Amino acid sequence: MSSTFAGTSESFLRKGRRMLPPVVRGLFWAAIGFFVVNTLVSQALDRTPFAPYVTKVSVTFGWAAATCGWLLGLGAWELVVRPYFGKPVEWEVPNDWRRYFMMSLDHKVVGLQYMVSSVSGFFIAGLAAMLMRLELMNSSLWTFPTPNAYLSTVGIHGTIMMFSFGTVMLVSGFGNYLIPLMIGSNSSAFPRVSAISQWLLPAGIITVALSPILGTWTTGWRGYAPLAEQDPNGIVFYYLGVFAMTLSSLLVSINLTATILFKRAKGLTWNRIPMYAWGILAASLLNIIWIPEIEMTFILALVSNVASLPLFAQIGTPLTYMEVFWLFGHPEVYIVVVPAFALWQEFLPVMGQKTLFGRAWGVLGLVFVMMFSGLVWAHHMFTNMRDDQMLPFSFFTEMISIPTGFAFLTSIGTVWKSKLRLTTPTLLVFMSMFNFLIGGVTGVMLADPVINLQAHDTFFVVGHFHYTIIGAMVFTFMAAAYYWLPKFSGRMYSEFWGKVGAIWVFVAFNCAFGQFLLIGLRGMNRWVPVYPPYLRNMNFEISLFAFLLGLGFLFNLVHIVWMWRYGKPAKANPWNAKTLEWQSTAMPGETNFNPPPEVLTGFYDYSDEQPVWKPESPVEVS
Amino acid sequence: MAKNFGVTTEDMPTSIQAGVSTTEPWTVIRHPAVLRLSPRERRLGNFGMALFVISQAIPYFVLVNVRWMMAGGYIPPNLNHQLGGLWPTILLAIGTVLVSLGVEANRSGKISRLQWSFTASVVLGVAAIVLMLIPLWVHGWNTFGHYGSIYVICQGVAVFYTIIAVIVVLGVVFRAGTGLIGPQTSFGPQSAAVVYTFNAIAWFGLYVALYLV
Ligand code: HEM
Ligand SMILES: [Cu+2]
Repeated sequence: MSSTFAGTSESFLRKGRRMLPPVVRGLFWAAIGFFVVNTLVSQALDRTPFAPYVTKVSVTFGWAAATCGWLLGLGAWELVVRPYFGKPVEWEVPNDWRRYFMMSLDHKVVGLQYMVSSVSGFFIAGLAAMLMRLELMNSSLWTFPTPNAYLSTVGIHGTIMMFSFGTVMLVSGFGNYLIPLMIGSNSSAFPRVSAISQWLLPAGIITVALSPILGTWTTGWRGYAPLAEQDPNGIVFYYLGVFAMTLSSLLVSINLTATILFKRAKGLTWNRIPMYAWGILAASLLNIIWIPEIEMTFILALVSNVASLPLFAQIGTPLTYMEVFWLFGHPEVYIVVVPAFALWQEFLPVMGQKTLFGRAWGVLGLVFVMMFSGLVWAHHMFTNMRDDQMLPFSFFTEMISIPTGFAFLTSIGTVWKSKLRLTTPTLLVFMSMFNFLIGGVTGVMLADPVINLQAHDTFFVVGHFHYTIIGAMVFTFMAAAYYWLPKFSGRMYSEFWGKVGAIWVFVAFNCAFGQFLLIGLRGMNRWVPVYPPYLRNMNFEISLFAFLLGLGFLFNLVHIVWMWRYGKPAKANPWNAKTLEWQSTAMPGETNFNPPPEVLTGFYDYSDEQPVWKPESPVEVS
Repeated sequence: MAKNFGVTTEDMPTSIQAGVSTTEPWTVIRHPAVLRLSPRERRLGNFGMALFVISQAIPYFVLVNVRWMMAGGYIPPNLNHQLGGLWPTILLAIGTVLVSLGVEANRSGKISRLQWSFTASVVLGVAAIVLMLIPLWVHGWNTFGHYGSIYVICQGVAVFYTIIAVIVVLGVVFRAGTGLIGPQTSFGPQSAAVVYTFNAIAWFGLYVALYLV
């Protein structure tokens, strides 16, 4: 990355071929950052004799330095730091595979980078799930060396799934790629913000996945303090990794909110904003409020762990931590599902070529779900409360099913009497609705204190939340992946294999997680590698379905990756959709709209053939 | 921090063909550090700043509430009210006045006045950081710290944010030195002033909650 650009294009080319992608520099600077700062802290500042080279304190500071080095090396140095102190912006992007291995100002590249990081997280955490299910095939400890090792795996699974996939794929991945396109813009509002935030995600995933290097941790994805203090040091990497991942989501949310509000094409008025953009807006507001909240909490817990302070133990109580965690924790699940609801309402009108039913109610549903989500946190803590405290939380939790119902009703109303094309995305949306219905009904059951006190900490709960998360979010994500594959790659998937993949995952999922619910009622506890032998047969067979499910996800991945390269070329707008992303054929590295579009009508009215947009007239508007 | 993110056409990728090899193999992004913003881009920038400030105010709410939940109204007797509390508050308050004077000066084109007052507020910020670090440094880091611990953490957070605010203001001093800042490019000093002022107000709130309420 030289700063002078005087040479001829020829000499430039030679340098170009040799240039390593900045990710290499990022790794190098991260390593230097870690060793310098870790050494400084553990050897120079801390003079305890015979202290180990890596201590809790030094690893924390070393990690922070490594992350800074990583980001600077990837491009923050040229794109942010130097310009901030007055040097011109100089950034050269090779137009080949290397542009994916550096910071990118192109929202489409950033979207793809996010998708790849996020899917990698999904499969890393999925592998952890497979290991857990392997262990649970037998009622004794037979694969993991210690119960702590098993519990660390549960924690790694939940943490990476939630913070790198569940809350990320639909917001940061698809959002970064599609939201600017869908609102007729050529870029996101703050391209450098997303450029940076994307690279925090792999850093966070790797940190959490490597946490066993420091030791086991037994708190699960919630990092409960002071429980964490009893464990070896793995929890330090949990806090740091989650910090990186949530910071990534926070930055994306700020960027996408500003994008939706300020970068809309001419004529894209408030009542024409796409449903998906509404979903992203709602999820982003939740992120902007709750992520700083949980990050501060994690920092309190981290400091209290690293510096051996007595927070949440002698000072405060374990309940204090639970309270602040679940204040964030429940909105978190709506960050996961709200974009998914919005996508149902995005796909069904297109697939049925029928006007979206009750659009305003759909939007209201998304917004009210978002608002209610802050009122219900204590339903995770019924076992720790007085009876009279439970009531309001129980009430509001059950009330959330009403705005959620709007999402179902607009979807069903749209499908009603339409000439629905039963494509793979349609099928997956239906499966998603079915699964989420089960997730929702079991959720209302759990909101009832009488049931909750019985089912708390059993596999009934585990079944419930996997039905909501996998059921709503993962199935909708798969629908989105098939729906937009022609957009991303210019190629079409195979309808036959797509349906095979969908049915495969659906059957395996329901057989595995339906039985999670049942085995929970029969007395199977969460967070245990060892259980009473009478549950063994059922667990054994659940595990088989879980493996089948894992293979099913892998099958869909292979199918999509294969078709990305070798699929039949697709038409520019294969589904005959009206939304704007299909009106541009720009691939990563190209300008979306030139000239910018001017929107003429809403996107969800399929009753006539009027054009939804025209190229904006060349008169300058500011 | 959130400076300079206003987008211009130069931030966007130049159009090239798919398939890469047919056209230039590089997209070159090259423009001066500070760009003039259109009114709409300024509003966008302000909105981005607002979201940033809102999100960063939340950790302070958490701290105040958690402190209350954890320590009630108890103030540890060995807490240094002067070094860790009063003096940084005064210094940051003066700094806030100075940055807003700087923004005003820039608006009327007095760049050297801007540089002077921003530099002074950086110096005050650094002094505040040092004063807050002293009680952190001498604090006994152990599990017997009891009620002192939560104060110490609040102070650490304040140090962290003050460092950020100082860097943000320092960047403006540098850019003004290269002649990039003027009345037409006032978003830079203005947003830096917002960050600095936010930090000062947040610290003041924390200070009141910690020592006085
Ligand atoms: C391949 C499919 C999956 C299988 C077989 C699976 C299986 C499991 C199992 C056995 C547990 C441990 C339950 C316990 O003992 O408490 C668990 C926990 C969890 N899973 Fe999954 N899971 C899968 C996918 C997912 C996905 C896609 C997500 C979210 C996006 C997810 C999120 C979680 C969370 C948050 C926990 C709780 C972890 C904790 O208690 O700390 N899982 N999963
Ligand atoms: Cu909840």
